[in-house]
Amino acid sequence: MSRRARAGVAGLIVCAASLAAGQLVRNVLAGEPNEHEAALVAEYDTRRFAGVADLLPPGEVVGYVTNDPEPTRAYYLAQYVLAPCIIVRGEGPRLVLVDDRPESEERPVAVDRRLLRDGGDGVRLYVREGPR
Amino acid sequence: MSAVLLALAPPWLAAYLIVRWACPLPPAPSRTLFRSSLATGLALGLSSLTYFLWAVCAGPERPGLLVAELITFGALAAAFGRTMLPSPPHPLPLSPEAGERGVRQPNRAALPGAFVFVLLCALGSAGWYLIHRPHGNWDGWAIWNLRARFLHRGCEHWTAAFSPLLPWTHPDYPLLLPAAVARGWSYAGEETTFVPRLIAILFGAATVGLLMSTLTRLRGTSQGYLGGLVLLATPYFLELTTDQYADVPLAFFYLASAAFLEIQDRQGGGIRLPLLAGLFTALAAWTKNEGVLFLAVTVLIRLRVGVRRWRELAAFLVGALPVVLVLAYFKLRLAPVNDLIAGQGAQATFARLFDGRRYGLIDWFYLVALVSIGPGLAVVLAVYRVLLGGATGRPGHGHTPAVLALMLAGYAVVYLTTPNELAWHLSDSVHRLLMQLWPSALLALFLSTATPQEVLARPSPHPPASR
Repeated sequence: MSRRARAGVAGLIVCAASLAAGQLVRNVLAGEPNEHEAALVAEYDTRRFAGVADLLPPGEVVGYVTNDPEPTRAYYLAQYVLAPCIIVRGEGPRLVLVDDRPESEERPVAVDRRLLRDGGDGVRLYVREGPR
Repeated sequence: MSAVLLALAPPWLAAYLIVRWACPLPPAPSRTLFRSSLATGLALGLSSLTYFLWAVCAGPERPGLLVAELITFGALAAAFGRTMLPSPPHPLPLSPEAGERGVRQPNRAALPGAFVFVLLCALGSAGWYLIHRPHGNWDGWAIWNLRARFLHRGCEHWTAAFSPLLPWTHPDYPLLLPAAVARGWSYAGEETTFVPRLIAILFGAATVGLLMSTLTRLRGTSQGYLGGLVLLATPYFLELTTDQYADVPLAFFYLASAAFLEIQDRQGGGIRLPLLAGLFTALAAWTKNEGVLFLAVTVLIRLRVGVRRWRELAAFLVGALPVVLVLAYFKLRLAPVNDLIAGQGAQATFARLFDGRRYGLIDWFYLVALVSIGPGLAVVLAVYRVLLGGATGRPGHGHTPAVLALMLAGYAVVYLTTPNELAWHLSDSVHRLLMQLWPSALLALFLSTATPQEVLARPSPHPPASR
């Protein structure tokens, strides 16, 4: 085999081996992927809405209000956990879920609603009285 | 866990027999890997279809799925098993690997050794991701596993998954991955994260196995090792596999379609290979919307060959038809309009098409995304291609490079006309789109590059001077 070809094969092998080993070492040393993110998904999935989930009828559209510093992520997590309900942001629907995070200063509220259940840890389910 | 694995057995057996029927390969070390890899992806694709059809006919979690599947896959296994169909009249020719025994091979131990090293590193990385991110990355849980939950939990409300009130979940996306996950949960009896993780790793492994075995079959063992080595060493491929997104399953179906048609173009094989190529191409369309573009592009390219060999084109279309019908039912009856299509209007679309800055931005993102694979892997591969030179022997019709070029062009048109903010849309997706094409690009590269053995056999340009 010519020197050029030998260099090509050797270079490719070294490059591939370096990339593969580098990825493994980087993940282990840097603690990637972000464990906080994974723990948050697990916390929402197993605990956060456990106190109110049984009151949400499958397929029903449920409003969602939060003061979470990352409201989009919190909303997506709520939808992930509470499927097959359809969770929409805002107070429009008959049922409204309030996800009150203690780290925020502003308190989210559901106006003109009756508290259906306090699920604990800042999670409350409200219902609108009578037809809109 | 055992219930999930047991539930995969009937579709896998049926899929294996279908693949064996379609690819009458002579005995070779790569044959089992080739068939097993294809059977794994096909089994997941077919079982997602049976789950979806059962959901449409009876409801996703209604009893009877097991019986319906046993009948379906039992019938398929019987139909494609050796007993009911005549053996293929023309087995495919021998693979180059069959003639490699006793031939002088450069790097005889280096390549397998390096491959095992990279494989162990890749397994370590994939295992790390899967343990530390059991629900997958953001889109994994927010789109794909969420959809699976709608199917699994929804009972009569399962179609809520396609509500236009949830546009961020892309409710028009096809259902191969969510249906496969929901089916696994159905048999497991619980929503364990083991199921989406298993499916993710099966698709990743099947993609590597298919690339290696196809290259080995068409170009010899060293090319197979090199292809597998590079794919396993691509960091984003591993990450995307364990993200539990649909991009790696899509990459698998792209690669399977390309593999069948490259074998067909190089070695013949009647109408069975294009029949199965049609099925796998349609399964790409059942995986993600980009797969619909892939189906159209593949048909367009096969028209070039098919005008002369119309029976192969007809077989391809017949193979695709069953899945296309299911997809059409989903798109027409259940899915809302795609957001990218809904966001078009004659005036706005024309304005986007004639905005020169958008072309420049797309080119720039393509270039950056290509160079950042690895990073630098694409550059190293380009240098490798120059150093080793082109392949000798019987070339194909350039099917895979043509598909790749048209897919990139098609993606560029989608970006050009996107109603979303272009820079955001590109940065959010272009890396994943390139990774969908990456295994097929590696197939094309190593098919067209000289093997180390071919370089060894070339006459030296500078013969030693005689004394």
